[in-house]
Amino acid sequence: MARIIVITSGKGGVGKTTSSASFSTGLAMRGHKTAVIDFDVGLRNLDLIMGCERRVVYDLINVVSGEANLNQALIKDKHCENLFILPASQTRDKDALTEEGVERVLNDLIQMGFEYIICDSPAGIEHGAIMALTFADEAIVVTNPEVSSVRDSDRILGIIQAKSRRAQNGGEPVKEHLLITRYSPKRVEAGEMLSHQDVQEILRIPLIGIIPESEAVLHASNQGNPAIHITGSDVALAYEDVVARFLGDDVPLRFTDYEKPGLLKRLFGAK
Amino acid sequence: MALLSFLFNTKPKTASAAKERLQIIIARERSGRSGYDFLPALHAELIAVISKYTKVDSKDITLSLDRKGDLEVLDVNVVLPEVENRS
Amino acid sequence: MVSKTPRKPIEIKISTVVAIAVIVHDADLSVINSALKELTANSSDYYSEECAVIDVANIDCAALNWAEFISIFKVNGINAIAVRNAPADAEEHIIQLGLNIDLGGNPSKIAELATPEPELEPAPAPSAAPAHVAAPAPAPTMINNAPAAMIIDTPVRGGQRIYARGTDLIITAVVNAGAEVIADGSIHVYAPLRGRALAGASGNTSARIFAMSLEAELVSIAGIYRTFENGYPKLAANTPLQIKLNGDRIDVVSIQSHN
Repeated sequence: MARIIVITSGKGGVGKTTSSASFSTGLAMRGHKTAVIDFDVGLRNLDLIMGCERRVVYDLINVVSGEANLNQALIKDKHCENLFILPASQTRDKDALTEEGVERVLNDLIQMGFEYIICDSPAGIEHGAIMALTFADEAIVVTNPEVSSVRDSDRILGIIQAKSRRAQNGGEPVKEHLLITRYSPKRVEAGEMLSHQDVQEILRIPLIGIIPESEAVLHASNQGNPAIHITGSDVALAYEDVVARFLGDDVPLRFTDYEKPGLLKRLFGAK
Repeated sequence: MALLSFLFNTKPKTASAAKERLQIIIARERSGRSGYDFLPALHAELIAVISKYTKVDSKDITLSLDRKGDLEVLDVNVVLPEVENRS
Repeated sequence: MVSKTPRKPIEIKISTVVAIAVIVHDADLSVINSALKELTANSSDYYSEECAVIDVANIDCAALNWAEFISIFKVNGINAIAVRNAPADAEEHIIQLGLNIDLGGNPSKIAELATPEPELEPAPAPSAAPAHVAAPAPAPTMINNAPAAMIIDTPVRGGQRIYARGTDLIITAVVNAGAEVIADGSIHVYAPLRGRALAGASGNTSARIFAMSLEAELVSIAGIYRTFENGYPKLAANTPLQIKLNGDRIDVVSIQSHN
């Protein structure tokens, strides 16, 4: 049974595309045929983070408007044969992204045998973000431990509850997951940053994982490699944990506690 | 050896890879900014032309733009069908 | 293809529109302007999706500049569509400015319009109280089957609005900042109350608000409101509270209080 998962946040810059890239990669590496779609209209990000920007010929709106079919538009990931990317359109207006068109594309993907379809939402609560969440079975709400991100995540949760197809048809509600990104245990301990418990207390949805603040993310996007491929890094391990939990494994949280590095390490620059 | 690399704190220098990728993709997007992204149309026309001579599918033709030194290179890859299927 | 029977271009149906009543207590335009700004402090389009009826019963309209008065509401994002309880000589001016005259708050006036004056009336009955005069005016019937309380078990999120019409509202989960919960009756929140709560929305001054923890942006009872920009009352931290109306003052007291 195919599942459609939206990765959304409300707030911009919190790590949706980074998470979409790593989450879909993680699922594909576990053998599941996975598609990841960039729902922004006008700005294209997912292709750059996944490293396939030079192979983009057709995009989501080309497919919706019938100018191309999915086979022409889907880009096979360079690392993972189970993973396909459908890039966003850069040159069209948002009216071209119709609800019927999106529904048709998603149904076609399901017909093609995709088990997981990840919808990378743009920031905000405008048309692209609404289209990304409309058909979702599950939602991963990416949140930084920071006041405006938490407030915007709360807002987007309300919108998912109101505007998703599941809500409007009275079906089983969209399953919500909280993904906290850019977490710094040191700053939490110093009382400078909201803790994950604080965020959970306000948003009240189950936590699927915590991704620590890490330089690895910058290096990953510089190279066009989803962070989960930076083997051994904290971010890669954290995303692997997220995928495992999503698939039902019971994995304890890590990277949540601050361990002060020993004297020698601190002398040589460890933080 | 481990201590030395530890001392010199080698961080991966990925900024140059980022810069190179950006130069290509932004050049391409700027040239397309007058409104017309020619790759899809080129793709469709190539299929039409090659189909006059031999049977090809859209997935047999892949296009990509690359940068080699100072030059921007259009890479066209056409997979021809096996001999029996050519006409 | 199924053939379609021709449809009329326009259909008229009875529809219910949720409107807010803005009851004005001060005729000074600059005072009203400041009060409106305070009310919509965080988001000027807060009430932009509702229609508003401006009730001027409590102010002296004799010297009121209606055009400026109405524009203050529009400027502050309140969609004034009608004025209520305006003096009769101002009605035509108000209509010319594009607003309706709303009779909603005045049952006696509705009765006056609904029943034509009987032609054989010997002495002119005073128009102030036609409801009590011979002509059988339709008396407003009190229907005493109040609907059951509305119960919400899931968190109320920023940007959401819940309205319990004609009854109490019971919420067993958190009301987050940016959310608005409204009831004609009382509001009971068995969790932290962080957004805005408006009880007694149709004018019931004995409605109350109960909360496990008061962290609200604004509370209101029967239209009288209070914000907490200067902090919460000393007894508020993490204790269950009730909020009630004492004359025209909003009191925050512990649940055990019986004042």
